[in-house]
Amino acid sequence: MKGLLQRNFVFIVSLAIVLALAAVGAASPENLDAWTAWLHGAIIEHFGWCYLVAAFFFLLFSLSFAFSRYGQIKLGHDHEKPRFSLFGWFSMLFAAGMGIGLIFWGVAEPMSHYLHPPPYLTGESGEAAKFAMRFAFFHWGVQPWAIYIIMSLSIAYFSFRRGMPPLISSCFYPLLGERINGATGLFIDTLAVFATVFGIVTSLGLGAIQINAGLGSVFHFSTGFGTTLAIVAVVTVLFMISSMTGLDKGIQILSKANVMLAVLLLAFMLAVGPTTMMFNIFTSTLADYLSSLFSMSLSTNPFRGYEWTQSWTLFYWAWWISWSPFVGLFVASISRGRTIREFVLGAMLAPTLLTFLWFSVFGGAAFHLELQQGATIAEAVAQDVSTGLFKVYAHYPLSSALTMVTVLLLVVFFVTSADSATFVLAMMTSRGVETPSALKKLTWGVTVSTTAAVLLFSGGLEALQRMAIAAALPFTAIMLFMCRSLLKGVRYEFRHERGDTSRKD
Amino acid sequence: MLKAALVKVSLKEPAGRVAEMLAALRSFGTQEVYLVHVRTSASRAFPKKKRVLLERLREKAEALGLIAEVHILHGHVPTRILQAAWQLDADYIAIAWVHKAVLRQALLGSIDVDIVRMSDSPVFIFKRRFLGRTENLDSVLYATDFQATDRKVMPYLKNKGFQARMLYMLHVGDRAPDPATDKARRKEVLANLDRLANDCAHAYESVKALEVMGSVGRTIVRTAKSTGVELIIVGKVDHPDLFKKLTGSVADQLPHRAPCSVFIIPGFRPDSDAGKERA
Repeated sequence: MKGLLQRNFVFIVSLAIVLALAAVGAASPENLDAWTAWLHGAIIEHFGWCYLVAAFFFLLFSLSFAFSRYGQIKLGHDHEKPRFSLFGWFSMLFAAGMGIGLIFWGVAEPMSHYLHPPPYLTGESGEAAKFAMRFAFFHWGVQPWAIYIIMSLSIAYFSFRRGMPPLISSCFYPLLGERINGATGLFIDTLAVFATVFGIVTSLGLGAIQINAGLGSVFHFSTGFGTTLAIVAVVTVLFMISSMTGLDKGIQILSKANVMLAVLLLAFMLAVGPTTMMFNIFTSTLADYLSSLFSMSLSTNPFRGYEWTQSWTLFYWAWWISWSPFVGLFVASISRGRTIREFVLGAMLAPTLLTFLWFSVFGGAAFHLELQQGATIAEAVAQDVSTGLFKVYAHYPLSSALTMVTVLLLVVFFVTSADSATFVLAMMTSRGVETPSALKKLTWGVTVSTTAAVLLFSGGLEALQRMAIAAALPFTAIMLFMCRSLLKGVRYEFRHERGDTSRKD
Repeated sequence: MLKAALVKVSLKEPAGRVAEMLAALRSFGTQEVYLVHVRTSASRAFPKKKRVLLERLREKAEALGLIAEVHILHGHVPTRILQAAWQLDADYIAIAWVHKAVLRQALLGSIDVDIVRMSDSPVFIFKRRFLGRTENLDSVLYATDFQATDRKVMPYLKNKGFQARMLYMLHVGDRAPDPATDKARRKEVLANLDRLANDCAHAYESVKALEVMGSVGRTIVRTAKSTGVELIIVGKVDHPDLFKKLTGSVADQLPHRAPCSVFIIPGFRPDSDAGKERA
């Protein structure tokens, strides 16, 4: 009995915390809302700069790692080959890391920045449009991937190359030694589960709302809690089926199908929409992004526009960091057999390029309608963020078909994210077993969906999102130590196992 | 092996510190000392008072049974000390350590640290009297990294001059990235320590191997404190990486932090050693 408790400590504790918080969110959403708003506000207000510095550091660290002699290290045994094809790997990367958010924010984010830029810019001006595209690129560019890369690189190195269980706590062996099996290690793993559950619950809830909005705009029905609940139920059944089929089949097939669908949608919009303008936006925003990457990376705008930075950039950075345990573990599990250089450059550049194209095409389409055809996309987004993309479709041929394809894309991205999250949660709560039991996957699947449904009903979803983001602060520190630990690990390998005698004391 | 010592005398050392050090030098089997004072002032005249102090030191050395010579030089202190060590064919350089406040050290630097950094000869940093003993040391700590410095340091450890009752053989290492490799690493480290301990077992009553993980400098100091050794012996690598160049190597930092005296033996120098082998 004692052994069973020890083996399932992370599972029991994290499940109890999740259920307790969900119960508070259902019973007293106002109190949870007030408390989490205070916590989230205090963290962003006082530690927001840490997120900026840390994200920039992760970017520099991962790039220097890739181009250093450590870049040749394989995430697996020396002669191991990658388990997934390049397209399969890239599709899963994209689906787990960005997919659903990109559909949600592809139109909404540029339009929001255009309408409400920081106070030093005039809203709805040419400068605001330029700013909007540049910051959309920035928020979805290389930094989020650098955050994910640090987490997944560490997990992949310590599990596949060093033979440790794929857990976040395993990454700290060079620093903590056997203490990774004690209270410190359990705390890190529990925090990771906690952030992942709340992140996926929030995502499931918000995604269901957007699917509902999309279906409502096609079939002209009034969207309400009943339909949202039905969507959550359908998605849950789908991702549970996918989850039971395993990583090799379910997630990979769904991810590949989804990326193909997304590229088709992108190509259609590019062909039918203002193609030249879209390419112009892509080219000039890319130049803007690259030339101002350094200043954007470290600018908190303390004199004017600090609130804007807090509500956008700092929020995003905290969100990416809170997502990193889930994405990190998942990305690590699909990256076995790749070299560090291949992994860092592939994970950083390929999804970023697709993301930039996506923003240029959908943001460009929205700007074209807003600036040259007098449509009021920005205002529509200000009223309801989830409808932005569908408002753009309304001005295009085959709008109903486009909406349905997007809803399908949302559902599949959703299923993929939830499927991989369930897999990761079950793995994290089974001491890193690579094929966790179906019962654990089922438990987490049902817990995530039920919590999302309950909080959608009570209105406590945003509070839960803030809880997930609050976990980003300890995770920032954890990830900085993770960089130190990874460096120690690979240095040891080079000095003692590869006969490198360049050590100087 | 350690018969002739160049003793740096700044004449700013606390009263009796150099004399204490001279007594301690006999523990290494030293028979001859060169008391070297380097003047930095532009004035040609050398104060009589200083000359008298140097003479008194020479007399004290001779009273201890050492052959002593006084040399007064002029110029950049570390450079002149190192040149003198080479010209006089001294086996090592001895410095009576004078503690400097952090701010003073940061602003003005330290001549003694510069000597340690620049020297190709062994440097003995005297920090504390050997608990009133005039013969052998009681306990000595040698921090080894099992690298080229062992080749240079082991002959000193086996040398009768270094005889002490007890020798602690310490290895400070990094933890391996995973438990299985770490277990193998520890096994290998202990085997290496045992090999070194066996090599010099004849010269000591007891040799104890210690395997510790952590920051090298801090761990050496901590172990020296916990074992209460009178002398730390470390090797020094002459080509530090950029980080060590900025922060100072372990050998550069030890004189500041060690609770006892330190003997720093320069390690393997690829160019010079290759040259010697060819010659």
